[in-house]
Amino acid sequence: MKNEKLIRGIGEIDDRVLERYHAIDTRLARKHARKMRALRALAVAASLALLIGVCVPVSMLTHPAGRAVLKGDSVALTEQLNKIEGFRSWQERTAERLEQTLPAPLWAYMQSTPVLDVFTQSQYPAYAWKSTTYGQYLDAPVFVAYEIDDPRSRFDPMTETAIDTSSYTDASAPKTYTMMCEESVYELKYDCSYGQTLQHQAVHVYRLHSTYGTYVAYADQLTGECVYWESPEEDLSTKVTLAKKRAIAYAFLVQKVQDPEAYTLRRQVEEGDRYTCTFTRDFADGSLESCDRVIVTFDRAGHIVGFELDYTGALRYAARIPDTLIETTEAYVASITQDLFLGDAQIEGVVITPDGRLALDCYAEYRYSAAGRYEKGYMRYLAYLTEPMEQ
Amino acid sequence: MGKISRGAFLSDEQIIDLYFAREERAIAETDKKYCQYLHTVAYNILANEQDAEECLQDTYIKTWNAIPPERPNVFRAFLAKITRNLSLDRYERENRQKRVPAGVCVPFDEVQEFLPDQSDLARDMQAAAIGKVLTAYLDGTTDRRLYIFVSRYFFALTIPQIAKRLSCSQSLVSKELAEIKRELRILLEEEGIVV
Repeated sequence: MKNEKLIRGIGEIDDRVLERYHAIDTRLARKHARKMRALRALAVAASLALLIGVCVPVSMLTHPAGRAVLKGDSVALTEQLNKIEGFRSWQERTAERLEQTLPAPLWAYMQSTPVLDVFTQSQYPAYAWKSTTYGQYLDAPVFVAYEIDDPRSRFDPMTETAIDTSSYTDASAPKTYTMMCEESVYELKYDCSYGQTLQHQAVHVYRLHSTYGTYVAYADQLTGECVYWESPEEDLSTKVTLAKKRAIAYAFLVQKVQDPEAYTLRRQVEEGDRYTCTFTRDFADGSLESCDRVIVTFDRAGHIVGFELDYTGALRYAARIPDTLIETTEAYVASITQDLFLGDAQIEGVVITPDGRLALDCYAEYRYSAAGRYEKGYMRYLAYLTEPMEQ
Repeated sequence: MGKISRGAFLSDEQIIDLYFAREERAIAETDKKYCQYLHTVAYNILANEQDAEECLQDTYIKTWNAIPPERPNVFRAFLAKITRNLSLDRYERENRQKRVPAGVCVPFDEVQEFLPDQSDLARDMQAAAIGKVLTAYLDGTTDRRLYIFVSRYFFALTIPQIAKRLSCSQSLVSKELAEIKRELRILLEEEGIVV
């Protein structure tokens, strides 16, 4: 055999190298599994969105006060329900029904490559959605919602009935943050005990943004300070117009806060601000791979409108926001000069927003350096995959 | 490597203890836990179901003879190395008898690109020493490159297989491999070895 000694030499690499290899392999396998789960969730949730838009009376989504309440999947509840023998989740039942009722091309499309493309890139919080094929089927605003991981939630997944959560918007309640739309279009509330990640976090309460982009809060410890800002008040028509122009991703950060009072309005993002995060991917075995770049883009009002990841390595998960969209947002690139170690982003659900955009509800853990130590932070954001529909 | 459900298996420590107690159940437990994994290691080199299966059996016998006295720190790696070496032995025999189909074990031909047999390194260093050099290189490289290198040259995965696992294009993997070879050349030159 040619090169026998050398080939045998490769077989003599240290055991710990092989263990590191297996750790990476395991991580890749998990990523793949997550991706496939997310893919299924996207297909099913998009199907559900269509179903609701076509079949479900609007009243089912509207509570007595006139607000359409969003409902949706809950990891914890779903897991619990899945333990019941014979239980079929609403996703499964919906998928089954839609498979029978949807136009075959659409159903096929939902499971086809473009969706996969999205998820290939969706391991990190920036997305490119090159196709708007969904849009042609979504000829009316459709609501898909989140179920809140909150014991007070009375969402019934068996009947798919939304409930009134208006009483849960107390902005002063500890460990709760609220995201609501001021136009009473819908409201979202997240409990900080969501999943297993935030339950021990001393997260200050603050109001976040609507899908119209009315309000955005941004807690920023990357620069060693916490930042919060709101966009100027605008009337609804203006907001809708802005929303149409606005691009892909809104984001907000929820992180460990030692001093709740730190969440004050510190500053407004100014035109021309540059925020560049250099971050490193970390693998399960604790090793880190450096060193990439993310550009956070803001619009003129200070909203985060997207992340652009620029991997310098050969594995390039550069999920670019389409240039055309960038142009329409009049966005500005800003840079954050701190280390930011971004973990996996998980797709928690899929939303069709009131203005007709398809968006992913994402949740990511990241680490950042602070005073020489690495701290964890959590990021939850909507990644908009399509442009708003014409009103 | 193969997906293993951990719940039903003994721990590596327990299995090794069985070897030390000279209980034949040790082999059954090893097979139960690592059969799929080791089969993949062998099959990737031999591309023959029957040969891979025989290698697996030989692996168990060799493990039985090696433990005790040896007590492996990383049992899975210990087994993989035995299987790989046995597979290479078999591959060499088959190759000598011209029974190896063209295209099998291509990765090993690539090795010459960065470690030609005629080099001083190949002449003077034993396999273990070469392993140390490579270990030093892999210790200092990124996870991705380690993954690609070990997948390709230890486990003999094909480029499409590696690309699929990394969710990237084959050309990207090829590019990385070229870069790995380039880095190894530099490393060897730094070691004073003319390649």
